[in-house]
Amino acid sequence: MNHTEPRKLDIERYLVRELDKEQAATLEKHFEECPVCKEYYLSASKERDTFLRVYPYREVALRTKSSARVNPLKRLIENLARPALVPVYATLLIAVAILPFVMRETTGVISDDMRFKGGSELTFAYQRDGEVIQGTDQYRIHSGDKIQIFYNAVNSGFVSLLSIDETGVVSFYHPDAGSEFCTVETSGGNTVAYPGSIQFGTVSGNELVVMVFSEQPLKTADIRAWAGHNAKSISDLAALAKKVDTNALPEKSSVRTLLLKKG
Amino acid sequence: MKKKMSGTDKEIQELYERYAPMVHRRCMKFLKSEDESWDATQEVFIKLIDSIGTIQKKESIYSWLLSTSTNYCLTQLRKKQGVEFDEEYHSCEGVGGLPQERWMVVKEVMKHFLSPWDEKIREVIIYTYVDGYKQDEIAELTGMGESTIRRHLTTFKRKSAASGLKLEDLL
Repeated sequence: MNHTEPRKLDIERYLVRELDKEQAATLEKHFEECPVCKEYYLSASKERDTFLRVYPYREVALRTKSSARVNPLKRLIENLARPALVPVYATLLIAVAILPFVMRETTGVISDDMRFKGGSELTFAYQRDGEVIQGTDQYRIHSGDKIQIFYNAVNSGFVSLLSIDETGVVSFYHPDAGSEFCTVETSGGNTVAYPGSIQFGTVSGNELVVMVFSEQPLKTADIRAWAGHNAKSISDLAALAKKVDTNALPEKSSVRTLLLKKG
Repeated sequence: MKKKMSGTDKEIQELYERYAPMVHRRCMKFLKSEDESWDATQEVFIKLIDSIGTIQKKESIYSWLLSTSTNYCLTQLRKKQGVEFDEEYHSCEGVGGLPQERWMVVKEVMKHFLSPWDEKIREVIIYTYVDGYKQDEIAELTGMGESTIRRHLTTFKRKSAASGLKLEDLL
């Protein structure tokens, strides 16, 4: 029999010595006639030998012996007790036990209208070098960072996410780039993740992230014009963050901003 | 291969030298990172030592490892997908955004790959498109009939055809 491609499974099982004697002998005979299968076998053997040279058994023996025999519950407790998780526990403690009191003190009574607008400012997390970190005021934009925006909205409605850079360029973040609308429907909730992440390529300066809450879907062209008008009227993004003109937006719309500074 | 494992160093070493290279190769295929693949190899190998007594008589260790390492890697990818913020959904105007319709199809296909309750279909798809096994080989690996395998593949093709989606986009 001649092959133009190897019968992979037989060769792979031959490599791990799972074929019986008869099957192995048939395959060995086939290797003599079929360069394609032989080449596949040789290349896989070479790969196996390299692996065993790089990761010899003696280097994993201790780990397999100790890990394989540990009670899963004990393993779980050991995992949960890792010192690396202390900051996570601290964050959780703050979120669960302390934040509700602080929020109550600072926000006071919120009207229905305001609550729809998202009771608190935008928050964010960022991913850098594979690590996900909660965003703070100390965050500085680096090229390649991915940023996930979170918002609060008690009622359902629509949200739109965009950013304005220091030169006034407006970028939208929306799953459907071809749509005339730039909004995503939200059913509300606390710390809701806006779908998708923002990734900055070359960072030229600060970026003002703007989220618009509305009762109806908003058109990209309208929001672009509104954002452009805002960007033109105030040259400093920090000032713009504090005073966004919402007059041109539909009734009951509101805006939240987040200034991300360049490192 | 005896199914009972007395757990002596020599037996474990034999298992390691026979199977760990193929597990590592498999993990590299999915995770594409040497460090992550090495971690995954060790985890899968520990699972093997723990489970060797329970592996079905008809099943080869090779098939068991192929399936276990695939599932392990997909779980890791699913976790990564979570922390990578649903990258496919990200769209910056003018920079490769996905139209809504295509996104829905991508999600549907991802569901096929990554949802734990569709394990059998997922195995067939992966063995076919990632590994290039033929249907008789998949039948041998999974214990499914070839007609079932064909049915799963037809379902998959139908759902993904509309998007022009390639498996490499997802893995």
